[in-house]
Amino acid sequence: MINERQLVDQIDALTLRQLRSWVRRGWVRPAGSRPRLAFSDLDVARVELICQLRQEMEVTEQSMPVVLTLLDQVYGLREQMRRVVAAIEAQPNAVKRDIARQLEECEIESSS
Amino acid sequence: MDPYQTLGVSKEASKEEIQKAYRKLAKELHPDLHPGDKQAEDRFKAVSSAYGLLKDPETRARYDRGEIDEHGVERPSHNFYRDHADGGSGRYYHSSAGFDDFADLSDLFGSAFGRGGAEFRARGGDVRYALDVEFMDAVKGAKRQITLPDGNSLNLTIPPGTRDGQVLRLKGKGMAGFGKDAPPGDALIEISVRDHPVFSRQGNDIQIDLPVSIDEAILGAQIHVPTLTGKVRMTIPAGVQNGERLRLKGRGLPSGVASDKAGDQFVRIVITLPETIDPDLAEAMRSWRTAHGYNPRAKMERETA
Repeated sequence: MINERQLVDQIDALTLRQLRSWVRRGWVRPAGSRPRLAFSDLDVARVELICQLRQEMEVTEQSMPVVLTLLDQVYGLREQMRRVVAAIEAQPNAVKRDIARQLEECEIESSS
Repeated sequence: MDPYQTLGVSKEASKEEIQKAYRKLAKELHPDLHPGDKQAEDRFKAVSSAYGLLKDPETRARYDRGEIDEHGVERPSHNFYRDHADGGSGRYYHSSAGFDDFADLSDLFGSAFGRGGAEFRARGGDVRYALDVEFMDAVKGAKRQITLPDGNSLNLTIPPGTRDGQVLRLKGKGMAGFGKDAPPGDALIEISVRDHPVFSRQGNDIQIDLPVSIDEAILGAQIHVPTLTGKVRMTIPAGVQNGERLRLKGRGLPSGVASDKAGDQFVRIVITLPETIDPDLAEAMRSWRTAHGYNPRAKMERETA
C-alpha cells in the first residue's frame, strides 16, 4: 500500500492533480479516505494503465469511462467464467461430457 | 530482432513516424485490453522494447552505429493491470453488467454468482423425454407409463387435445437438486402426435376428405360421415363442387382444449368417378353434351386472354 505522494513519485507521467481527479471520478478506487488514501498494487497497475491509455493509446478524458467500463466488464466476465469452468472441472466425467455436448448443440443452433 | 522492423518503420523514419507507429501497435496489442492472450503480451513487450530504444535520439544513434544491440537499453518494466485485475483480488473493479441479465444463471446459482454468502444450492436438472402418441389418444386424452433413461418410470396423463410438439411438464420429476432444500428439476415430455389416415387437425378444428360419387354430387344425398365421436348423417347439397368445404358445426375438439372455442369438422368434397366407365354412362354423357355442353374454363380463358 502506498499513498498519493508516493504513487505520483513512482509514475513519471502522473501529476497529483490528475490522480485526484481520477479518484474523484471513480476511475481509481483506493482504500481509505482523503487525505489518507492507500493504493494497492492493483490500484497502481490501474493508474499505470490509465496513463498508457491516455498517452500511448490516445484515449481522451471523455472516452476513458467507456474504455474502463468495458474493461471492468471483461475482467468481471473472465472471473465468473473461470469460476464456472472450475465448477464444471469439479464434476464427474459423465456430467462434463453432457455439458460439452450441450455446448456443441448450442453452437450448432446458433450458427444455423 | 531489428527494432525498426518490429515497429514496421524504415531506418530513416522521423521521430514522429516512430511514435505514430508505436502508438498504433500499442492500441492493437496492449495486453490489458487482451487478457488471456499471451501472444499479444509478447508482441507488445517487443514493440515497447523497440520503442524504448528508438524514441531517444541518443540511444537510437548508438544503435545505428552498432555500439549497442537491440537489448542495449534496459527493458521497460511492465506492471500489467491484467496481472492484478484478473483474479479474485481485482474484484472491486469488476463489473457484473456483462451478465446481470442472465436471470437463469442467478436463479440457478444464486449465491454462487453473487454477491451473498448463502450456502450453495441449485435446482436439479430437467429430464427430457420424447413420446409418440396416436392421433386419437392425443385428441381424447390417455394415460401412459413411460420409462425414463435413468430407469425410473413415470405415470403420465396425456390431456385431451394435446397438440403435436407440445411439451408436458411434470413438476419435480427431474433430477434431484444440490444442497439443502434444493428443489428437484422437472421432467419435460415432448409429444409427437402420429398422423391419422382420415382426420387431420388444426387447433380445435378437424378436417377430412370425403369422396362422393358423381350422382351424389349432382343429385344431392344423405350420407354418413366419420367424426371424432362416431358417424353422423350429413346432407350433401345437390350440385356440390369438387373441393367445396362443408362444415359440421361443433364436431371438432371440445372447447378449453387447444382454444376457448369448440372446434368444427370441415368436410372437403372429393368427387370421385367410378373405377371403370361403363357404356351406359358414356352414352348418357354423349347425349347430354350435345344439348347441354358447357365450358368450365370460360373464366380462366377470359383472365388469361
